[in-house]
Parts: sequence; structure tokens; C-alpha cells
Amino acid sequence: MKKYYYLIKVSFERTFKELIRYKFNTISNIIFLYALFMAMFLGLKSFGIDFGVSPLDMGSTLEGFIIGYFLWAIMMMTYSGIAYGITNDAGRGTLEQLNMSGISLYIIVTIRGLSDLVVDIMVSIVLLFIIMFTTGHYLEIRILSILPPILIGIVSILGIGLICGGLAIIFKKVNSLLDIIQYFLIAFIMVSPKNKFVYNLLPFRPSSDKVMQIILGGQTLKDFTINEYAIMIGNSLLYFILGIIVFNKSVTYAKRKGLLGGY
Amino acid sequence: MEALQVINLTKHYENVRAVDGISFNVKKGKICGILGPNGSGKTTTIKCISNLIIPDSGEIRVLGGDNKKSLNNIAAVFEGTRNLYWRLTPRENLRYFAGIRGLGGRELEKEINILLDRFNLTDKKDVVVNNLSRGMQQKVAIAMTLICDTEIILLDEPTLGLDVQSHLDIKNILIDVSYELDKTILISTHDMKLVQDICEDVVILSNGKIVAKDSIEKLFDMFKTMTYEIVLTECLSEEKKSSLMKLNRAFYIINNGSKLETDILNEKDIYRIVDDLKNLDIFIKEIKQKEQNFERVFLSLTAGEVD
Repeated sequence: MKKYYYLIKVSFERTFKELIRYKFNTISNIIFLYALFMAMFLGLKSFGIDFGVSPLDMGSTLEGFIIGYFLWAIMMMTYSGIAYGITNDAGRGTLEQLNMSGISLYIIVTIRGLSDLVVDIMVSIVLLFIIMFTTGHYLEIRILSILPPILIGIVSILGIGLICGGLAIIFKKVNSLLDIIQYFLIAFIMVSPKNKFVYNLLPFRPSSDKVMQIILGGQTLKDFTINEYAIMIGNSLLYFILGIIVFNKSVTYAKRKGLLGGY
Repeated sequence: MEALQVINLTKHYENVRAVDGISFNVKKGKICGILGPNGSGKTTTIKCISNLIIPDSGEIRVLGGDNKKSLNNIAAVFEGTRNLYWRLTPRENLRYFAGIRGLGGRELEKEINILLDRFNLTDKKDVVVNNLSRGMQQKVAIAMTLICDTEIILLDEPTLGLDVQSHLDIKNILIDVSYELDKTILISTHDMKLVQDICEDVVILSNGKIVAKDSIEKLFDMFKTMTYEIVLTECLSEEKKSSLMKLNRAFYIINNGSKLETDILNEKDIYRIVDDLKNLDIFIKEIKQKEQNFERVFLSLTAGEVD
């Protein structure tokens, strides 16, 4: 277990140090996410109601919009972080070093994904406060209440990240795929399929719903049933296990074709 | 004791046979060089040993065990300035690469300090790698293999693109590491001088096959020639160059024809050469016997395939 402790420790150290040393990238990410939100927010405010197509009445549903955006930002940063991390490592030659460590590459990548996730959540919280300040809509955010469903649900996004990471190992440039996935993720948060089975099968969806219920519906973690927790955990495990399988198959394929170090 | 055994290793890419049934051993604590022209299979071999490429067939044993289960005994530095995180300092890089192998704690910090000192990097320990010279980056990369405390170190072109001083530093470091720390080192390189200076054994590849594997000494014996440098009084004209080529002897024309080099097997041959040159009105200023050059051995073995 001690070796995993050191792996986690150095992964967090590296994430925080690179966050500071690549400060332009960090700041521009926050600005991009903020600008995107404001564009959507102002767009909906100006045209949505006039055309009668917006679900927003700038009242209670605005909170839903803000939280949806906050969750989408975390999801997007998490899955794309893994894929871009692998692309960058392949370019720097460090992917080969990671693969020689004796610890499975998917474990290293997942732990790195988790350390990035902590940073992403912190960045997203900062973003959330900026958004609340700008829109003038202050939400009562119970961080400790929303963290458990977010942390359970984000495991499914780590799984999607591993699938994208596996494809990045083989194809190197997967930017278009990552772009497409981010639009699907918006749909996963926004749509509510009638079919319960499909609903529970969408990645992160059971967890994002619980976050909404906590923030908008005033529910607490105690209000959820064991069954609901089981669905959240089952949904996450399904995608995470699928991610591990696809990632490991991709690594083996890349090793057979001699693609691991290429970029 | 054999630290590394490569047994009948074969790897194809599509229709290209990159490595074709090669076998060789490296003894514990020895430095072995893998030489070969571009595309001869050197890097593929190193990557198969590091488990970065899965071979089609063959076996690789590290200290008697399967290489895939012995990755904690293999560390490698691959070609170029990659291998490190450029926005981390040497200390942070060493800590990170030890950490992903499950190493850490106070002992590791002491070990990092010792290594930084050994590699003369102590005053650069807090400078991000991006701001270090190419030679220093290569030192950090080699230090990274040592902090992992593996038995075997694989180096792919460790001196490529280095200036004279950095080349010398890396050479001395590798000798120290092998003798003082008893590490087994396998170097894939084009750098004949490096191989000649520090390797005890050498494997020469050509078209994915081994064309020679032996100690440097034995390979020199096998291709025992004496190389003479003949300094001329004036540069050769084109006419004299073509007359020279008609002689039944190989001359290497150097410095635009102001010097010649030739290999001979028998000392008496030099007198014949002097006579031949005199007959062509080519006048000699000086004759020097040169040190044996491994490049000539290599060229003989690969039949001039070097590109």
C-alpha cells in the first residue's frame, strides 16, 4: 500500500506545481469556461424567452442552469484531462517512463486523473462563485452535501476519460472526439429520458440528479435511499470498469504496433 | 551472472522485419553497446526489453525472470530531450519518477541529494528542467534512472546532440555508475567513440540481425588492421585522385586531398605504399600510425550501410 501512497503523493505534487507553472493555461481555462457560461447565459436571457423556446424564466431554473454548467465543467475537465494528459505525455516522452514504472498505466493515469479532479473541483468552485457574483443569483451551496454524489458520479467520467485516453494512446490526436463528447455530456445532464433503465445508464446522470435535488430541492444525503446510492455507484462502476478494459486493450494494441512512444 | 538475456527476439511492423531472431546476453555490472545503422533494430530491441513493444516471438529475461514481471529492475532513457517533465525541477522530477515506482520517504530525499551532487546538479536543483542546458537535461534523465535503483539501465543515444564537455561528462558518469554502483548498462548508439571508450561488449545489428557480438577487444583482433595517416605536401589534383583510385588499395581521402588514410595488415605494406605514391608523383610530408578505430570495424561489419 505504501507504494500507492507515494504514487498519490507525487501525482498531487505534480498537478499543483504544473498548475502554478503553467499559469497562463490555468487562467485561460477559467476565463474560457466563464466566457462560455456568460455567452450562454446572456444568449438565453436575451433571446430564449422572446422566442419562447427557453426553459429559463430567470427564476428558479436559473439555479439549475448554473449547477448544470458547474457539473458539466467538472465532467469536461475530468475526461479531457486524462486524454490530453496522455497526449502530452506521449509528446514529452514521459508516457514511456510511466509505462515502465511497474505499476499498471491505468492506475497511474487514474490517480493522476483524481489529482487533476481535485484541482478541477477547486477551479470549478471558484468559477461558480464568479458566476454567482456576475449573475446576482446566489445559491445556498452545501459543499459537504454535494461532494459525495459528485465524487461517486465522477468515477463514471474517469471511465470515459480512460476510454478517450486509450484512444489517444493509439490515435494521438483525439481533439474532435473530445469536442463531440462534451456536447453529449451536456445532453446527459439536461435530458430526462422517460425510460428509467436508460436514465440510470447515462453516465453521471443519477449523481447529477442528486446534486440538483440537494441544491435546488433542499434535500440532504439522508433523504436518498440505499437503492438510489446503489444506482449511483453501479452507474459509475460500469463506466469505470469499461474504461479500464478499453484502456488496457488500447495499451496492449499500442505496444504490439509500436505506437506507445509516438506522437 | 547474466543480468539480461535476449533470446531469439523477433518483431515485424507490417511487412518490415525490424528485429529478426536476435539473441545476446549482458553480464551483470557490464556496459554493452548496441550499434547499427538507422533502421537496424536498435531502438526496437531496447523498447522490447523495456516492455514498451510486445515482440512477435522470443524471450527476454532480466536476472533470470521474465522482463514483463521485472520492470522494477529496468530503467531507461530514450533518445532526445524528452523523458522528463519540463516544468518541474531536477529534484521534483527525480521525486516524481521514484514516486510512480512506489518509492519515497526521507531515505529517498537523501538519495536525491547524493545523486544531484554526483551529477554536479546541486546548484540547479531548483531550476525547472526547461531552463537547463541539453547536457544537464540528459544528466537529470540519467539520474532519474538511478533514483529508481534498478539493476539494468537502458540508454538510447545518450550522447546525441551534446557538446564536447557534456559528452565527456556523460561518458564519465556512465563509467562511474557501472563500476561504483555495479549497474548493468545497455547503450544503443551511433557514437562509435563512446562504445570504444566505455563498453566492454558490443552487439552490432544490421537489417534486424546480429552481424557481430563480442568484446570490443576481440572485435578489434578480428579486424586487426593498422591505420596509417599520410600527410601530403600538397592537395591532390583530380587527376592524381583518380590515379590513386586505380591502385589496388583502399585509400580514404581526407581534407580535400591533403591527407590520406589507409588500413594495412602487414607493416611492410607501408613501404609499398610509399613506392606507389612516389610513382604517382605524390609527395609525402609525414606518416603517422593511428590508434585503432572502432568505426572501421563497424563499417567492415555492416558493409558500409551506415546512412
